[in-house]
Amino acid sequence: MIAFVHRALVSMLCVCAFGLAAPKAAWAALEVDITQGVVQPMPLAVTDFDVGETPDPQQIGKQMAEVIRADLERSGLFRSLNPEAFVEQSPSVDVQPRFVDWRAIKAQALINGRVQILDDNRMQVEFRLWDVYAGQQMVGLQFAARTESWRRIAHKIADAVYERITGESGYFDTRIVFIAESGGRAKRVKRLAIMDQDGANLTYLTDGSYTVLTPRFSPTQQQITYMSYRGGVPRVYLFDIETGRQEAIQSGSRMTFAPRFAPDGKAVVYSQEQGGDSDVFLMDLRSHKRVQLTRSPAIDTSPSFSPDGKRIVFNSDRGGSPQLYVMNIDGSGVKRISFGSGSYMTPVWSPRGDLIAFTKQRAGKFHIGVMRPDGSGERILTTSYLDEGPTWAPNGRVLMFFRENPGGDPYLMQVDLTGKNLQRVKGVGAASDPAWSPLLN
Amino acid sequence: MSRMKSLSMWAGIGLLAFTLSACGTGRRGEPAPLPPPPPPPEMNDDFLPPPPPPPPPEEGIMLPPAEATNDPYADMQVLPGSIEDFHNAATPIVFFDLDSHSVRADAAETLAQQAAWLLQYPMVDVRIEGNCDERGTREYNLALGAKRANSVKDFLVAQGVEPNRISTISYGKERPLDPGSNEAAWAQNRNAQTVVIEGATQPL
Amino acid sequence: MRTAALGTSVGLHAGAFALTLLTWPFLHKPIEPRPEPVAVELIGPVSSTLPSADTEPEPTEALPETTAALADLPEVADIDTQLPDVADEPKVTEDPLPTEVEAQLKPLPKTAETVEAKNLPQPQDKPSSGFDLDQIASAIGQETSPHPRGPIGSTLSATEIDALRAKMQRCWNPDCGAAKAETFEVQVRVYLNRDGSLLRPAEIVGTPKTSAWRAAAERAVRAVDRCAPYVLPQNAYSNWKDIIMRFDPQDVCT
Repeated sequence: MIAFVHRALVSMLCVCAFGLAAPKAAWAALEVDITQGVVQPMPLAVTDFDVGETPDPQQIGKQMAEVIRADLERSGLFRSLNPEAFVEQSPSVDVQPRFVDWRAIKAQALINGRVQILDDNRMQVEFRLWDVYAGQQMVGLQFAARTESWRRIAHKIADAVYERITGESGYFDTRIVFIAESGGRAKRVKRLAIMDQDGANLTYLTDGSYTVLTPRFSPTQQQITYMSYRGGVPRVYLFDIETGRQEAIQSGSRMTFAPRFAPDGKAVVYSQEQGGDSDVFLMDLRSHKRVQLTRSPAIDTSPSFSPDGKRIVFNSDRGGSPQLYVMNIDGSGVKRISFGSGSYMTPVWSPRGDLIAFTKQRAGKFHIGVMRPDGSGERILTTSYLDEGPTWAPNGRVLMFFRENPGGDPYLMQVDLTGKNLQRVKGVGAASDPAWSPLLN
Repeated sequence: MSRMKSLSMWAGIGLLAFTLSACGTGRRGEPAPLPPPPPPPEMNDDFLPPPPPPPPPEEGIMLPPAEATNDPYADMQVLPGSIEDFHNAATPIVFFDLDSHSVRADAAETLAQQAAWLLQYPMVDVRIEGNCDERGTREYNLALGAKRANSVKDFLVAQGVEPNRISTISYGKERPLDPGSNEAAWAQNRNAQTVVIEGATQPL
Repeated sequence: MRTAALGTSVGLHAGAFALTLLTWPFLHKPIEPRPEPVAVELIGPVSSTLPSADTEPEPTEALPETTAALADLPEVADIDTQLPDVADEPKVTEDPLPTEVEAQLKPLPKTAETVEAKNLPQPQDKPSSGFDLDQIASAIGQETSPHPRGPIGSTLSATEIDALRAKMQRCWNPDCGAAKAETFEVQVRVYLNRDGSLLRPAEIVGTPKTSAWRAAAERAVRAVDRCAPYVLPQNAYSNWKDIIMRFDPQDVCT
């Protein structure tokens, strides 16, 4: 009864409010529907960071701006304006910019910053992102770190800018683990390697004396799981980034492969082969307890968790050709989701949960594509002689994969999920099997 | 012992490579036109004729050879039970159709020869290495290579070879015999290779 | 004053860094050869209220302002003092940005007001000479307009509305890569001066509930800014001085 009265009151209030507002709207506002737009990068100006009187022999202020420009441009969402057109090269962060000047060069956003080199090899960096039209600061942050970390600060600033303008988290302060290849096709040497998302700071984690494949990052970033022929038996290993220690997740002579972490990092889902039959298994990394999730005589491999940890998408040829299937994490409720012509392989669930990326092979070509978890809305993003193994940026908007031309070495590529902005990943030579880290802390 | 094992393994690989290039199928880098894929040997409608049993081996498999040499071909005398002997008796490789792990008719003949030799030398252990062409994903090909290796193993076991003498491994698309990117190369690279890893007669 | 501020600031930073050390197990065992991500510490937001460079058009006048800004440094430190609140939570480095963005939102209107007062055309003021030119231009445009001029108080014709829509569509740059981008329909209320300039910044109708929605709304506002000024028939000013523009990404983003 009380509830009813309350509801009645509320609806009365609503009517009143509407009654007041409605005539005004009807009297005043002309209504225009805009249903088309131009999808294009937003022009922005990133000025060299102001170093003031601080000696800056490494030109950190300039280099940071360059890293930020490159990050934002690579996203395809921004177009960095040529600094030569700037009226002021390193405007101070202590005064409001002269927005007129930036409007004049059609900048919609402006980023300026200051670098202060402190004692003890430390630095403090602050930046501001300005909405040029509105004449407002959109975000401003300060960071402190050791001076050699200037690249990471730059990536964090690019992430902050990306996040403020798109409303979604960035992905620039991340790393890529991948397989660095050398020696040509006949005598290929494969090493586990890691680098920043922009190709900087490349480091090798294994020496190439044994073949390593398909590394994947743990959500905690502390570990990598991958497959290695070390010791002669191809097995899934865990690599501790902190200590460099590697260990096989299970012993024995059976091949284990195609590993991926669960979203909490506490379990690994992978394939185990026995008598030629590959099935999907799940292993708890603490108890080392294993559960077999598939039991078909067909090939079941390339499992990948949904970000909520409730389902697994995998690759199976149980229907006669390689296709994508989704199941619950106890192996129940298996459902095929790919029905297009051709083969579908290496499904990877988006961190956003809304899409599954895959490798598709059809009519002599390979593609990277995406579809919804129910199999609808398939979109092909790339085409080449060989495109394989997509990995998602942590915000679910960009995919990295590897491409190989006939007879050539593989290399890393990236594309955004609208299929635009396809580009080669710079800073790295022959490489395959990339896996994107989560955002670093 | 493990040193012996690896020595014989390398000998096996070396021999295999030699055999392949001798057959005119091995390739080095150049995208030169390749001869057609391994010829499906003349079809024999009689499925799996038992191969003529080779001469019985001499007593004592570990007979030391007359003279030791590093070059197995310097001495034209083939030691019974040696890796070279195996390669003379049977082609150590069989090929598969696209995205298939079924043993082809031509492969069945080859495998029957392999089985016969293995039955003759029961001390010998082998490893079947499954391989795939580059037209598939790495992970799927690891699984497919395992299926191919196991198809071969199953075939040999069906011929009477003890299962515990045969191990398998898949290299997926990691070890192409032919680095080319064309039909001929792919046909070469869809294979299972039988590698003697243990118990072969060793030249000293 | 300056030293004191710097001292406070350094002290706080050191404190925050120590806290980070305690809460960040990654830093416990730095191992030389491993490619550890290097430590970067987010100190916090910087003040959003600044002296305007626009107040003094002479570039040489900027210097005193910088000094003034330095004198304002305690204000930055004031914001820094809010850090412990954030730092009280166990994982200060984990999720600083969203918190920060929210905190950043509040001071914005202040800046907006001051900036607006300085930058945006003042409707009650006599238009500057630049606007005179614009007005003349638009007046000329009107003279030669093919559309018949109705009496004062008439409304825009369908053709004129179509032209306005087409103009807006060239200025609108939706972000179709955002999650559920196609669902972010945004309504923006636009108030115009007679000369077609914006009377005040376009208003987002409703309160964006997520940062992605807000980003979409800001893109709509930016489209309105990019397209200004709006040259429309003077006799219909009462019809177009207040426009609700509805930006619907359904077609563009699917």
